[in-house]
Amino acid sequence: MSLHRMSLRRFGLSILLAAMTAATTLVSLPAAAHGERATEPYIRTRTVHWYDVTWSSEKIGVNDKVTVEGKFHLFTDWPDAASKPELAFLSNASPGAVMTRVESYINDMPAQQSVRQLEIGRDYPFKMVMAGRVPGRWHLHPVLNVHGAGPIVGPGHWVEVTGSAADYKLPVTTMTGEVIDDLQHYGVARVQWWQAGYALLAVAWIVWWIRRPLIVPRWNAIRKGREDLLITRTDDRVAAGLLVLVLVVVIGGYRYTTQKYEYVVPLQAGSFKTKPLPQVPSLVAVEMKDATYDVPGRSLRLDVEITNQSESPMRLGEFTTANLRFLDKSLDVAVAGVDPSFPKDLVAGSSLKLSDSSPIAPGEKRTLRIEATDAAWEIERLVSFLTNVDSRVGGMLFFFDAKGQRHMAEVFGPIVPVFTQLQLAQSH
Amino acid sequence: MTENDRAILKVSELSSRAIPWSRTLDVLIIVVAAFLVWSVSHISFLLLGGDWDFFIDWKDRQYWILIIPITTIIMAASFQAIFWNLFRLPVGATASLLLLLLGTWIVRYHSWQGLAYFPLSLVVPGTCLMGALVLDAILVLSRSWLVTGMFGAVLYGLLFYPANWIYMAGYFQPVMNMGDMTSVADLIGYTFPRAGTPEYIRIIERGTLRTFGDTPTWVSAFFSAFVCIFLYYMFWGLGVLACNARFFPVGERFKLIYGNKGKAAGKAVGAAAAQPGAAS
Amino acid sequence: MHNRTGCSWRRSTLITCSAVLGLTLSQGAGAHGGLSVDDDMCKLRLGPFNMHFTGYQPEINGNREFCEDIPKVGNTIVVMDAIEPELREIPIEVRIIRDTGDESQLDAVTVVHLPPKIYVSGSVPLEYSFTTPGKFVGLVTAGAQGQYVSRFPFSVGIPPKRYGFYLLLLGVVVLGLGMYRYSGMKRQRQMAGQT
Repeated sequence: MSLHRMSLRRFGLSILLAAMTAATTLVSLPAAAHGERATEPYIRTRTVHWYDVTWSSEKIGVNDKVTVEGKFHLFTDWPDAASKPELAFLSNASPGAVMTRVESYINDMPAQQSVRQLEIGRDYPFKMVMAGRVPGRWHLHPVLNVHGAGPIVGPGHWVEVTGSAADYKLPVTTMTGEVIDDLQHYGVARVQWWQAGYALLAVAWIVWWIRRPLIVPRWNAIRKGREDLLITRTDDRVAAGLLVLVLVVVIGGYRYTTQKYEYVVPLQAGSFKTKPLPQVPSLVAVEMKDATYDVPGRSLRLDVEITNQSESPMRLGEFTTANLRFLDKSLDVAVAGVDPSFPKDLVAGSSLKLSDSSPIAPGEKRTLRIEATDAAWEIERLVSFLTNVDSRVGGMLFFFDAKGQRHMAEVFGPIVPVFTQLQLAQSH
Repeated sequence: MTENDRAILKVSELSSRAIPWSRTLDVLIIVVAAFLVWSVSHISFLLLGGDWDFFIDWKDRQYWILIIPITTIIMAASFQAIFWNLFRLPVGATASLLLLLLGTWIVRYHSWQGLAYFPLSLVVPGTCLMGALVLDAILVLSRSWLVTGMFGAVLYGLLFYPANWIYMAGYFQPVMNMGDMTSVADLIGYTFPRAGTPEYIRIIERGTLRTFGDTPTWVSAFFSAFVCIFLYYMFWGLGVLACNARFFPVGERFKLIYGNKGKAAGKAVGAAAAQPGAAS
Repeated sequence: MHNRTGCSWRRSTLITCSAVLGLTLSQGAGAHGGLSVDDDMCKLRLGPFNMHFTGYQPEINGNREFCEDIPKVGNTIVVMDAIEPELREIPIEVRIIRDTGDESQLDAVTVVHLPPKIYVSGSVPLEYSFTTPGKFVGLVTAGAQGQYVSRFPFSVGIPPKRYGFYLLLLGVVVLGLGMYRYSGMKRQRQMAGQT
């Protein structure tokens, strides 16, 4: 091939590459979601377990409300690398202020501030009411920000906000009686007018100086020692006048403002404490004997010893960790336990496999092999056990008794990644 | 053109042909310098003071009042030193703060509101512009960096709070939210969620600063004024170092065009510029 | 050349101004009788005893507290707290009268009267809605024979003369003039140095 043609090809190729790069940066990507996959697996599987989370609607208009409520359990085997929840804040994950927070509660305590000393091993109900503000399709998750551990994200559900952003308004009345038409724009005009006034003074001052011969003439004049020409008596007068004007404006404005807004409060920095849900005596004792993750098989296998300490036969219905739910689809009450509004992509397609799915009799101690198989382990980036410093896994087991009542138990322990074939496992 | 302007041009010994070119150079340098001052001031503020002035619910009575003046006086003092020493232009502080304010508002509209959907009431900025005007005015009247640092920097620190309280006071009215009393600023911060900023991250007054009376505001303002003095002197010195002519070699042809008589004159330029504080 | 007499004239003006400033800003000692701000606390002197005096106007001013004059007309709550324990054992009587200059017929000018009573909790509350601005006198009597008396005149709804603000403005103008003058003096020195 001639040199000329080769360089043409190379040229064409580089144009194509440039165009592709430009295209990927200019074309907006679909709405942001699933950022929680960046959080380390040991945080997502062993800190906050969210359950019974419901979203009151999937589609709301601007100004309409959607309620996210549920519970979270603080895992006993909290990882060393993450700080204990001494200070936390209930929030939501959304790209900026596309939805506004109307109310939030942790066990009925208003959660505007941060919450102190949440107890490990206990459960807390939460509730968040959000209002639509910017039209679009947004992934709405509850989040518990833990000081020193970071945001621990709950399950997310797509909520569509319809309407026009201009319709959003938030009127508020202060305790001093001032009526604010819309909190979004409150006080902005006043700030801008005053700062424009300040800027006008500044521009006038700068123009007063730069209207003269500037760089070289002044430079030369300094060399010749003729500074008296550069700063004249008139300049002194203007500067003195400016000094007095600025001080008078600020002092006068400040006095006027303090008389107008006599009753002001500082930013509220306190935090609150809330009680967990009453502790339920654990009727099922669970101990993990062995845990492996079959890397190519995408299957988490747990060998657990379960002791039924209740008076009713128990069946294992669900294993959940990091917002993923694995159900024993043969157990109707377990399947019914999934709220219809719960996002489908967080419920594993295949059923939870148990080595013995017969009910565990009262008093019986049984060793069970539990297999949770789904591509979700990889998609959700939960299986970096090979590169973790803390190779332990955690999760919640939901048992159901004869009456259909649910009993929860934690399961945790070290985990080893293995590379066996799925067929070998099935023959186990 | 005033008589004073004519006198300056006469003293500078520019030929009549060079004078309009000198004005062209002025305009070019103003434009370039404006962008330089703007970007340096803006970046330095983002790095040093950023969070405290981004959000309305970070504007507390202790840290906001302290941090904003001391982080902005750094650039104000440096640019004051440069413009004063090179050209006896007392516009460095004003230019720095004015351009910072302009840049801040552009970012508020484009990025905070445009990209992140934050309402403007959440992100209204404060400004030290009034203090900068006072700083420049005192520099003209005293023609001394020592006096400007002593009185100007103090006023700079003290003026921040009253000058901004004029339009921020309304945000601190009490309001009820979920049965608790809170400020309008806190309510705005709560209502419009910021995904990455949990409430506990705020470094605001915790009420542990014992004061005379109810509020630490003026204690903080006076402390800010005190720190401003030292930072002013430190960064005035840095500004002086930055405009040492040794670092800006000027071509011979350039000098000839603008009336400097070649190499001998060039040496004199370097020598004169090396004693910038001589007149003070 | 400097005008020596001019310089010293300006200096003495400055000193006089500061003295006046100092005097007006300091609290008038006898202006409010037995009630004054002492050690950051509003104290009512009752013979050898003291009471902590606090005024509130919750509908108008939220939780702001007042000592001496009441800023606006309206519902006002006053609470006096006994500092010494002895005050909890002796009867205390409170009376607020209109300041007519004549205190011979107290009942005729009384607007609020709390008859003598022993306040075991040490806290004496009273509430009254002032409808018109005016000058009043508070009379607190303690002791079985009413031997301890505190008399304090106060005003309601009469905005106090605040000299501080205007003096501050004056100070600003003086500062501006002073710096202008300093600049001129520096110029003259420089010119003298050059010649």
